[in-house]
Amino acid sequence: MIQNNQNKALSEFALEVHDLKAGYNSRVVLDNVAFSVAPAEIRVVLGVSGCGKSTLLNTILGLQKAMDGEVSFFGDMVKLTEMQIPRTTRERCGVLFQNGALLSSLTLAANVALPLRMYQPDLSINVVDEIVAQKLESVGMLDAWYKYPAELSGGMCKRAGLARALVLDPGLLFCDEPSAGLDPVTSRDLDDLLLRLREQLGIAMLIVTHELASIRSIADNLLFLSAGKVQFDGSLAQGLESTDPELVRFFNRAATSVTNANTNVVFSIEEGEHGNHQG
Amino acid sequence: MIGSNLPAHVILVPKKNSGPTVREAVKWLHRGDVTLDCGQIEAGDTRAIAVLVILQKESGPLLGSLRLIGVSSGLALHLQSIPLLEKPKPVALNAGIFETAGAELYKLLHSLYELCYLLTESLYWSTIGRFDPKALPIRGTLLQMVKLGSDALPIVFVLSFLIGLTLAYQSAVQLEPLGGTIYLVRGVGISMFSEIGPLITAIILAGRSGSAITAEIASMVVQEEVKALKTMGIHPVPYLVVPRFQAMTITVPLLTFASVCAGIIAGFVVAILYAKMPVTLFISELRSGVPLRLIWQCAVKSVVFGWIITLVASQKGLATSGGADAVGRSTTECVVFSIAAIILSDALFSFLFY
Repeated sequence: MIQNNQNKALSEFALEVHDLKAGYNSRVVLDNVAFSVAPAEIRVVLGVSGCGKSTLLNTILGLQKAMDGEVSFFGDMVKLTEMQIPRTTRERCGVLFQNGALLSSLTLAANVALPLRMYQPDLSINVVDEIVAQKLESVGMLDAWYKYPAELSGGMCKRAGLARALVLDPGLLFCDEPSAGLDPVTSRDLDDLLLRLREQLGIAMLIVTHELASIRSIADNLLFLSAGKVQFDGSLAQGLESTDPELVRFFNRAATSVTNANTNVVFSIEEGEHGNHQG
Repeated sequence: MIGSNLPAHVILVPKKNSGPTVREAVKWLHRGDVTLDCGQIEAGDTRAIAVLVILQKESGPLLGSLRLIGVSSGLALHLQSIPLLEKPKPVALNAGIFETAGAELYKLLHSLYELCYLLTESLYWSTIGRFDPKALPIRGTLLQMVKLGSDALPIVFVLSFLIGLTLAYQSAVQLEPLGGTIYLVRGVGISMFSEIGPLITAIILAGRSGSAITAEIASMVVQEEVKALKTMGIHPVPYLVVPRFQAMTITVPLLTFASVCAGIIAGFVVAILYAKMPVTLFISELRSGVPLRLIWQCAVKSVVFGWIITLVASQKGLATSGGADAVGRSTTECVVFSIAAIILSDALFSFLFY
């Protein structure tokens, strides 16, 4: 895959998004979003709840129709308004969903093997088994070969989902909240795993998250969304030093509510009188 | 204020309580100033503080004013920071009658469109698409045939047998005084083949296999499994719908045939035991009474019913959005809609065939 990327001299980016506009019915959730992810770059999309992170991921992946915009995967342009992402492009993109999204009717091994069976039905069983074993081992889940997703914990499902996302050796990995709902130790392990994968395989990653610890340890570059617009686009160091009030607030978690326009209830309290012996 | 001559009523605000205090205090507010004794309230007592806030909002220029006494220092500090809030107004969905009717009609047309789409896709992948290298192995279809078809055999058989028994017995009782018990054979045979066999099978399967299909697909949609399939480049229709479509196309006629057989066996039991009919007479009556055309019509009907069940169930499953409640809603809709569609198409078949 990495070789493929380099052969495609057309583009030096794994992913480019242009003029993305998306929403539901007439409500615009994302407007004029544009960014790029270089090969082997880890780009973290962050922002408070409801700022359009999930919509961004869904539209890029062609799961939801965009109102406008284009995306290029390794130089191949795809119009997001048509929701038609070609199979060859899909093959090069792995996706890790928030809860792993494993098929509950299949064992773990069958889940991981599913993309292989779809894209290369001519592969022999032995080869498929070997690839599945390699991928499961790389996420430390080889022992759960015959287990069904319902028998696994949330973190294990996520790791198995990662194995499935990686089984076709993608050049680009999308992760939706990889550390959400995990304890700090498991979450750090998952982050280390992602970093190791980037190191070994040169995979570019687009990660949606709002876990600060995770952002600090894995992000190369940040994309901070606010009310459907790109508020900040730059490296992690720049982001941490940025004086943008929203970014400062996000990182420091200071001042819980800045725009508190509420007036308070005014009581007339009389001091120094106690008890109910007045009546 | 303290020196005012007006008689101020003093009410003790109880700890963690609300209802009666508010009513009583409002009553007194209508008569003049009210003093609330807050001696029992602790700083974090939200229920009691809510009482104070409500009364503070009630009191005003027209009514008496409110005074608090016995306020602990912690509570006083807390009371200073209580925001004056307005309950948000619900977003009014004041759609007119035409708008609502139009939206419902659009929804219905859209689901019909989706049904047609699923039908064409399923037919394509079951015929020409089978030679496509991307076609899925036949194993999924076999698995679904067992799950949706053969597992339903006992219930279909037993229920059809009981209905056939009732039908035959009732006809025998009615025909006996006229000396026409011989007609019960063709009565049972014709009604099982033309109506009861296909209908009872379809209704049992709509409740059993149709709801299973919807529930399974809908929970896959809800748990993002369908999304995951799409990102893997696996189209959900060939992967989820087509195996079930093929399985139902094959198993529904077979189950219908089993149902008809069960009904006729029941007729046989009644004819032999109740009407004392010789076995050879029963068989010759059945052969002369039931035309071959009826058997073909029965087969066509059962295939169409099977398609209705599968396509409606799959469409409802794939169109699910929301959480666990949406799965239940889709399943209900599937059963209601498919049984209605089965009976409607049965009526159409009656016009077509007779």
